[in-house]
Amino acid sequence: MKEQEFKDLLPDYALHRLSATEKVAFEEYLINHPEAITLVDQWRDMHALLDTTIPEPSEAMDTGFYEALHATIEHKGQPSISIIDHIKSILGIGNWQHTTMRLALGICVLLIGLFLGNKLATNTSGAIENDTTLDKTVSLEDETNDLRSQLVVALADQPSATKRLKAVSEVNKMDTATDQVIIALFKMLNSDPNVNVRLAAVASLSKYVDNPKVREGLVMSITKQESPLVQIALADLMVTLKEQKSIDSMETLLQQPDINDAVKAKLEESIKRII
Amino acid sequence: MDSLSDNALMLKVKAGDSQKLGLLYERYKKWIFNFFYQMNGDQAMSEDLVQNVFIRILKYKHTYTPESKFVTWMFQIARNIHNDAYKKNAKKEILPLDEISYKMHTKDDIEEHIEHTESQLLLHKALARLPYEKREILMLSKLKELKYKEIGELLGCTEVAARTKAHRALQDLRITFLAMEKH
Repeated sequence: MKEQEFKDLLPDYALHRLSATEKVAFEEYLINHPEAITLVDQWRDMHALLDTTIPEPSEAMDTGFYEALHATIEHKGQPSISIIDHIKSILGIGNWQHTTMRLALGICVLLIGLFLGNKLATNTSGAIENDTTLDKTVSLEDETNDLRSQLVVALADQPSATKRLKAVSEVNKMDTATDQVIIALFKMLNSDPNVNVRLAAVASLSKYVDNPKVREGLVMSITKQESPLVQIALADLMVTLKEQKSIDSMETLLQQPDINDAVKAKLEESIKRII
Repeated sequence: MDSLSDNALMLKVKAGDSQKLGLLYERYKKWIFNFFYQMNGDQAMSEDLVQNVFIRILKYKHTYTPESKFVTWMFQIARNIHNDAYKKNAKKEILPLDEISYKMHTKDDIEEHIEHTESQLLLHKALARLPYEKREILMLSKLKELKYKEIGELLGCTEVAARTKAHRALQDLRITFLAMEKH
């Protein structure tokens, strides 16, 4: 990729609109031209700043919308005069003028209405309402999870360590972690400059060790860690999981000349406990 | 078709199951609110406009066809509603800066917000200086679910033109923002 192509893609990079192919080419350019990272950061920061000025809409907005929606539905639920006229015409009573007869007709229509209304309320409406409520609940749960995933991914990319820690704490509120979230957690575990963020990522990932990919990722992460605290946290986790595959990674780490004494002792002990 | 897809839900609304509009509202209220808020900087006004969008969707549900993507159709309504409000409230278009400042100080993590306050205010000011059309395409292009092709349909231009316009708008915002930062 040439410089001009890179500059042409910058706005779409900031807007998260690059295709997968463009993104790969863009990131390759960045690897080969590290001096361009500052420019990318400027664009990304400006874009992130645009979103931080937006407040959350208030509950009044929801209340107003649902009141208007229910009012519309209720309004449509009322029988119109034309329907009564239609019933009259079917019964052939359209020209009745006598007040008593009108009253009798009114009472009949009311009784029929009450009967049908009661029947509908106990059968159809109940079922539809339950169905609607269930649909809505499932959909809202999915959306909450999706939104939280997006939030985690967005926070994980923030320059502030506090916000990246917030990303991890958001993961802890999720019932299930999406692939996006797992990737974000591993990104923090393997490349975050802040040790606290890495430690928080280990703790969070430990909730998903039933997933073989997570276990594998944790094992591979051992050799990528430089902080003794993170190395020890991972070793502890491997012991808890009795993860045989981690032995090779821990032995590789033990070969490093500058290994911390406490870590060395911990790894040796962990290997023994796993074997 | 997925029974919970936008199009499926909107078709149910069109067929008379108005309750389903609640699901679409939950799905898109935040997006539309963000779009309005970044266009006008007024929270109360943006909330009213969001409600108006969905009420109008209900009113004009008969005009919806499954051939059109729901999001595009919805944003066409949102744009129309905002354009009407913009004409009525041209003078109230941008949130006063002191109000932004006040809002920031009410948040919990004051320390972080203090760091960003100046940049946020400058960026907001830079955004306010962009012409309405540029601000609009910038806000539309921030919604990833709207492809450039669909933004083009909304604005009556081609996909390529929509992309170029979005890039220029973002470029202009950046230039204005950096120039203001230097002063």
